[in-house]
Amino acid sequence: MTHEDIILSINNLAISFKSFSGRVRALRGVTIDVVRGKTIAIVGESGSGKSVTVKTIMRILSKNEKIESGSIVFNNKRDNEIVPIDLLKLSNKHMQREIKGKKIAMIFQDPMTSLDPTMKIGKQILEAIFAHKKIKLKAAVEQVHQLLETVGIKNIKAVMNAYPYQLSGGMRQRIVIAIAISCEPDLLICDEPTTALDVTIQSKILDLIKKIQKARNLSVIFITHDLGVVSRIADQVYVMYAGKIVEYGTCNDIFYDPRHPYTWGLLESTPDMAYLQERLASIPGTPKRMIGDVKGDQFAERNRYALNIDFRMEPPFFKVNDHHFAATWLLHPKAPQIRIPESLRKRIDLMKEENRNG
Amino acid sequence: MEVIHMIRYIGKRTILSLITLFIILFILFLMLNFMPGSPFNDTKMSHEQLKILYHEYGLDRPLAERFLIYVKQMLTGNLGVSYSLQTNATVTNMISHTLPISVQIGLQASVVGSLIGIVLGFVAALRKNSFFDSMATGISILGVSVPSFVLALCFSYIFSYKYNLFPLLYSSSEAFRSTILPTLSLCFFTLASIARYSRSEMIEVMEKDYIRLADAKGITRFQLVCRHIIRNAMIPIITVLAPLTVDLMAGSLVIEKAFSIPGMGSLYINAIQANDYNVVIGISFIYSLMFIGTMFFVDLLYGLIDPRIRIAKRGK
Amino acid sequence: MLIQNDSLLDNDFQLANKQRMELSSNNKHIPYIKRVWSGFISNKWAVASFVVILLIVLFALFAPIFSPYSSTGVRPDETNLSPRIPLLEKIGIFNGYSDAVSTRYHYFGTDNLGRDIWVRCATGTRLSLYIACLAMLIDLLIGVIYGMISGYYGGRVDLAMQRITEVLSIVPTIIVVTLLLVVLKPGLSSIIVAMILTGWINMSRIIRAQVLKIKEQEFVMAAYTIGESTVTIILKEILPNLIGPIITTFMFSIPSAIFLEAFLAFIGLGVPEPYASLGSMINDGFSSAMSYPFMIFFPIILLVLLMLSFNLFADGLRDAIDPEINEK
Repeated sequence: MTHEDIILSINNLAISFKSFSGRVRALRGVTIDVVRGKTIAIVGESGSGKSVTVKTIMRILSKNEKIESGSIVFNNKRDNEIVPIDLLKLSNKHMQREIKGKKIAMIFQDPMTSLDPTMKIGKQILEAIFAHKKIKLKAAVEQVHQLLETVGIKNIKAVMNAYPYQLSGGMRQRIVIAIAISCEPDLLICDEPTTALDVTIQSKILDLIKKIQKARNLSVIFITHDLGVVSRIADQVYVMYAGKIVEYGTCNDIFYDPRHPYTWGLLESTPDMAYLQERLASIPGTPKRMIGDVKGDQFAERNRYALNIDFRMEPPFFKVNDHHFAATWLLHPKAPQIRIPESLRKRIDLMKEENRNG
Repeated sequence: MEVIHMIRYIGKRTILSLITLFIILFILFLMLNFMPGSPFNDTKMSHEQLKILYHEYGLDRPLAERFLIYVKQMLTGNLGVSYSLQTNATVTNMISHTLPISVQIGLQASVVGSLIGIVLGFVAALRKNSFFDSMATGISILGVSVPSFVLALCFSYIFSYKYNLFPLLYSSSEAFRSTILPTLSLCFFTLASIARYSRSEMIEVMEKDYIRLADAKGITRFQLVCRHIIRNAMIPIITVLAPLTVDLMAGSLVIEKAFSIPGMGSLYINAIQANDYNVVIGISFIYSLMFIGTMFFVDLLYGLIDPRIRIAKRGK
Repeated sequence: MLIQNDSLLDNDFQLANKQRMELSSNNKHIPYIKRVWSGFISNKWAVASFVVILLIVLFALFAPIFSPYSSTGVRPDETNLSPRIPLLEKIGIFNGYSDAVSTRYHYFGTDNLGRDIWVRCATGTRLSLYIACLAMLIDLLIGVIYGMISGYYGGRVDLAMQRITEVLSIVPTIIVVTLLLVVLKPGLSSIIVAMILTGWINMSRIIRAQVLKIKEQEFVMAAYTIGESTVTIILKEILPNLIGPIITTFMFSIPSAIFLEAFLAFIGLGVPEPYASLGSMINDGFSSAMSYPFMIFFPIILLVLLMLSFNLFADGLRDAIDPEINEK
């Protein structure tokens, strides 16, 4: 990958926050590259740090959070020239005026709470337009109409005059998307945009995001814990566990050739793939909070295939192929030959076959 | 559409207020009828004389009839006459002489208290954990802990007795200057409670998703605070304004006593101590009226500022 | 990344045994009480206020016992004496300058009837503390039970009970209290009746709202489904979840109860003479405040200290019980 292809690169980002029982290390050296015009997905359980990662891009940090190290470089395209900007070093004012909404926009998890309850929908979209564009009200209203049409809203006049509580969750998420794309950003961050919605509406919203991404050649960071969603939308997948990326690769790499035991566990526990008449597997335990200094592989305790070294040393990334890496000692040449669980093997074969068939 | 909902909302509030008023009147009337001691206790009168007096004031009629008569009179602004404080002076007259000064001080205190309180709370929330924040927290904790009569004492000791800046007691020749210290001592509790409340409300609102979204649009911090944070934080703050006016009323009794202000509070205390039925009932009625009026006003304001209340209420 | 081969141990690439996994997977869990406790301890204002409350309680309990004076004993020959404290008098403060020279020590001086203010302050504080305890009791006995019944049974019961509290809360508390005092004669009993009538409404509302929320949660549903009795569900499933709001609510009702008494005493509707309350002492000394400031100084300091420490204590307790409020 050449430098120009990458719109955003997160380098070795480490974040901690103060808590009752000490410093909690939320991110421990996260490195992610987002390719221009592509969609990357970050998957992981709740508490894995995926949300913190994207919130840091938008610089939404709680008071007790602290950036320990790392950089987030946004390669801004201006008149066919690429200017790299470290978002973490930008002043708040600059961030507000030049980046947020204009270059990077965000869609939040819960549409029920993401719109200001005291402001009419039309005004909320207009506000987003006026934040970065100096145009006449009439032209702006015209733009709002177009935006609402783009996100598939029918009775535009009525919706513009409505307050958020008068609209359904799906409608509200469409409005949030309209706000996000109102100033033609280059990068769109979606923080679990479908989790809070009904299943039927989920797929409609997904299709909408996909359509907009294609039409506007947007780069998208998509956060989810739902692998079913990932398979539909992502080009690249990053699997995150306990504040670290544990495996990344293309969609095919992750779904057809997973290497990290955690990814196995995630795939096994996805109901979408559980159409076999088998018991749905789950990963034992819950992610633990990383307080103070941590040693070894954080997943080891929940890992059926943990090696002794996992408790001693953190595994580095091992290369599977040019675009597929996984951080597990199982890929070390000395490691015992541990195969992917049989039930998962079967599922993947079935999936492959189904894909081939159509 | 919206206008109809608004009218319906106002209508509902009005009816509710009227019912409330009626209940209060009934309670007041009942309670006062079980009051020990007749207003004519001190005078040495014969049984016959008393009977005549009772008859004259209509005290010998059945309870229900007396209540109906009272309500009718009250609706026409006739609150009866004083039995003992200023014999035969109409209560309406007595109240109209004392009300303006009480209302003036009350209004001054509520305006000063809520304005400073809101500003204090908001700035403290915006500069959370700063020196200003701790100072504001200190003021608000002191404000809810120090009773207003203690404040009144301190203020009059320092500003009137030591430095002679303001009159020690109320004097009609320096009407406005006389109200400054009472206003200050009265508003402190309101100020403190509102500062405390608005700080926590504002902090809560700032954490809301819609604030994050609005911020993600790239608007300036000033716009974010004015358009989104303050507006949403104001809604719950308005609801505590009503109970605080009641505290102000209670506070005014104490303040008027401390500064010898010839207001309704002083009259109320005197009337209670003198068992002057009509005056007590009249003033209680006026207090309740003011309380219900404030509640009504606050409800309206609430409906105006929060669209959810305006329309969503119809469903229930 | 390069891995030094010599840093690897022999058994590094063997599967770890299960025991080790379970051992290390014990997540550190801090019990609720301990968390609340250390949250409270770390708040220096709350701890200080707790100490002050303790000192005031000790003063109220023991000062009258170890004093030669009684709170109601009138001594015409020792009126309006200034405070005089042994040792401190030697450095020129609290030396009892006064026209009526007395050989006795009155730590806080005497009032216009020659009663010892030190002892009267202590008994007045006793009254305030007594009322604080009563407020707590009323909150617990009436407020909690009322709120729980109303919230748990819901439906018509709830509707009827809500109407009652609505009517009670419509009339401004101050009017209820003053009218009651008129009907019942000023004194402790009428303050208690007033508190019984209105003091618990806030608590019952909070409890009702909490119960409504809790009873919809799965663990209560589960208890219901396996056929637990109503009493068991209320006591075992719901009550433990109410402890936090109950404690914080009644802690905040304490200063307002103390204030109510002082307020009534100040406008002359408190406990009748010769009994002392902090409010009535302030009321008595008010007219001569400029000539004998010590007469109201000590009761005022005690009252303010009491209110302040209860407020700070309640604040600290609330933050410790419900840390989210401040973390946000």
